[in-house]
Amino acid sequence: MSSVAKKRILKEYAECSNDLPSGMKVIFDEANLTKWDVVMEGPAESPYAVCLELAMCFDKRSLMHQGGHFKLEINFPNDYPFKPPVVNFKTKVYHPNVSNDDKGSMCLGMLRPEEWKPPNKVISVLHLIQNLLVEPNIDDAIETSIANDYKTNRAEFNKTAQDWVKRYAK
Amino acid sequence: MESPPFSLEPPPLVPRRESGAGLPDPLSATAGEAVLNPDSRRNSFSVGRPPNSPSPLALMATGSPPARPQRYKVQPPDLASLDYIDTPAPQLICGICQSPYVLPVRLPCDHYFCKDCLSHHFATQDAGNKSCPMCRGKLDINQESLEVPKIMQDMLDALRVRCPNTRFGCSWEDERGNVRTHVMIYCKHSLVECPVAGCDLYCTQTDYGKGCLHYTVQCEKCQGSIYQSDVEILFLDMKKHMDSDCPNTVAACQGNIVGCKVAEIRKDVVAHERTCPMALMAPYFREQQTRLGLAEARIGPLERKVGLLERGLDSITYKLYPAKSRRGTLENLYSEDTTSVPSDSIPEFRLPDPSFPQWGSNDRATAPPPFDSQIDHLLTLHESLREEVSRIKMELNESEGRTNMLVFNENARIRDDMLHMSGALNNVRAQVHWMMSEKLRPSASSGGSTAAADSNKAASSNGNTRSGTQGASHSMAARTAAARLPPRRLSDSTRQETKL
Repeated sequence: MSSVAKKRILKEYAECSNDLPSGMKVIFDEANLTKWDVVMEGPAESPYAVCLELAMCFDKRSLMHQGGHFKLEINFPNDYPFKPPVVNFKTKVYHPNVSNDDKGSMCLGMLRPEEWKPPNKVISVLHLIQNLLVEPNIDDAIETSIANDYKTNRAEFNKTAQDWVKRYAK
Repeated sequence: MESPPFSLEPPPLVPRRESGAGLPDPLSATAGEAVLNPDSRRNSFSVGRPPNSPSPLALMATGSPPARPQRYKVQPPDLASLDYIDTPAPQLICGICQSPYVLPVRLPCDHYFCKDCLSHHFATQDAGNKSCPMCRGKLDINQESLEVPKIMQDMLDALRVRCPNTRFGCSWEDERGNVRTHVMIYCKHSLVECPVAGCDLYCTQTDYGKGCLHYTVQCEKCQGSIYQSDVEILFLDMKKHMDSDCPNTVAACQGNIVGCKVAEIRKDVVAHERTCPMALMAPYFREQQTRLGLAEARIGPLERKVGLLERGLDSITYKLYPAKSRRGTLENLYSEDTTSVPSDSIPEFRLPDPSFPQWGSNDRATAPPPFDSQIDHLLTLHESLREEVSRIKMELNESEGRTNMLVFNENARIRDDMLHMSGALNNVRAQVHWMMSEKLRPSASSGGSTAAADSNKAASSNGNTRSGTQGASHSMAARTAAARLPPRRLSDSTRQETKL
């Protein structure tokens, strides 16, 4: 990995530690800059928060910590920032844009190699992920069955998503 | 005697003089440093081989190629890795490296990137398929790059940065445009190529004269190794390493502040500390010690305060008993005050119990003061004296008033008397005057014997009438006499009648 890439990753980490989307935490190993572990709480307004019913009743802020905890892994390729970082969900999640296998990879929008631009930053990637949890991107879905579910039977989708959260995202 | 702090490995093969005979200075300096320095360095390091070059000593021994020319070559600063003091404006930041532009390049689509960043970007793209990293617009790689506005270059040059050699001890800070000059010419801490040929590493300019420092040294105790050239930088760290980390250094048990005598190499001490009750208590005792230290630090000011109060007390006592204060100690002053002080002036005043110890003698342990502290005692003393003084002041005021009244009364009486006296004096004066004029008039008016005869006659007739006719005739005669006299002042005649 070039020193340019290292410098850039360090810079981005510094930026992230100042200004991270709420409910996110980056675990960063200085020995291995290319792999970031991110712990993310399911946004309260999404089915990925643990107690959706409660979330309706109470102040959202008090429920911030009630969301499911999702582990993500961000891997930076060697020619970062010319290639996009690879984002994987380590926690299983019922989501049209996250592959339903042990990789949990997501590949859409700016994360596609042909869409990626070097000026894009990790922090915008993190924002993108959070927004996707709130509002899945159906047109760009990896799991078409889940996307179908989401489109046609929202209640069923929400229920399954919460089930998965309870089961996997403690 | 412990082993020499540096053991050289491999040992010097050839005496220094032979080997260094034809060599230029830097190399002989190398040998000198390597051999002589051990005594000056405290920590125990053993010297290993340079990583990818023969040992400096071996180099010398074989009379190997001389050092590079004396003129050392400074590495130009890497502008891309500068440390900026202020956060630069986002407009000046390259989208690829996220740092302010270095040698900015302007693309036809009006996007800017660092020259290096852009070439990195092009390297990842297929030939003939280059695009702008920002807008993905197609680019012709052979096209002349556009001119970058001067103002942009100026703004970039005006960004303030730290010297890239900050970690070697340089504290220079200035505009980015000056970095190159500073590093290439002025900075004492710039990295230069190692003076010894065959060594590919760099050392700071200040270390240039010391020869190749790129062999590893090891902490003799625990085999952790660092580069000799880094010892300068890590010297303090190494000391810390010896003091707190190195598992093979002899260290004392934590409990030694409570009296644990165990002192072994650190590994064993750590094991010992798990079981040593004194080590367990050590944090508590250390805390107590710091508190003790704090308390002792506070005693100093308090002592000064006591001294001040004592002096104040002395001066008050002096004012109260000027005669006694010369005699020295307060104690005998107190013991005698009942006899020497007149009892009517300060009848009920007693100083507090004089049994507190002398302040001069610091014998607090043997004679505990009767009060909580000397300061308390002094304060009560001070307070009672203050009350006494104010009481005396009131009494003085009162008696002054009384005296004033007395004097005033006396004065009034005396003034009356004086008025009477002066009245009486006036009467006497008038009488005398009258008598004088009576006596002088006849001689003055007729002169000679007739005047004398007249006056005799008048006197005799006067005497006759007084004896013959009593009061009435006497007044008659007086009137006649008065008629003959020059007219008198009214006040005189009335006076005469009333007083005489």
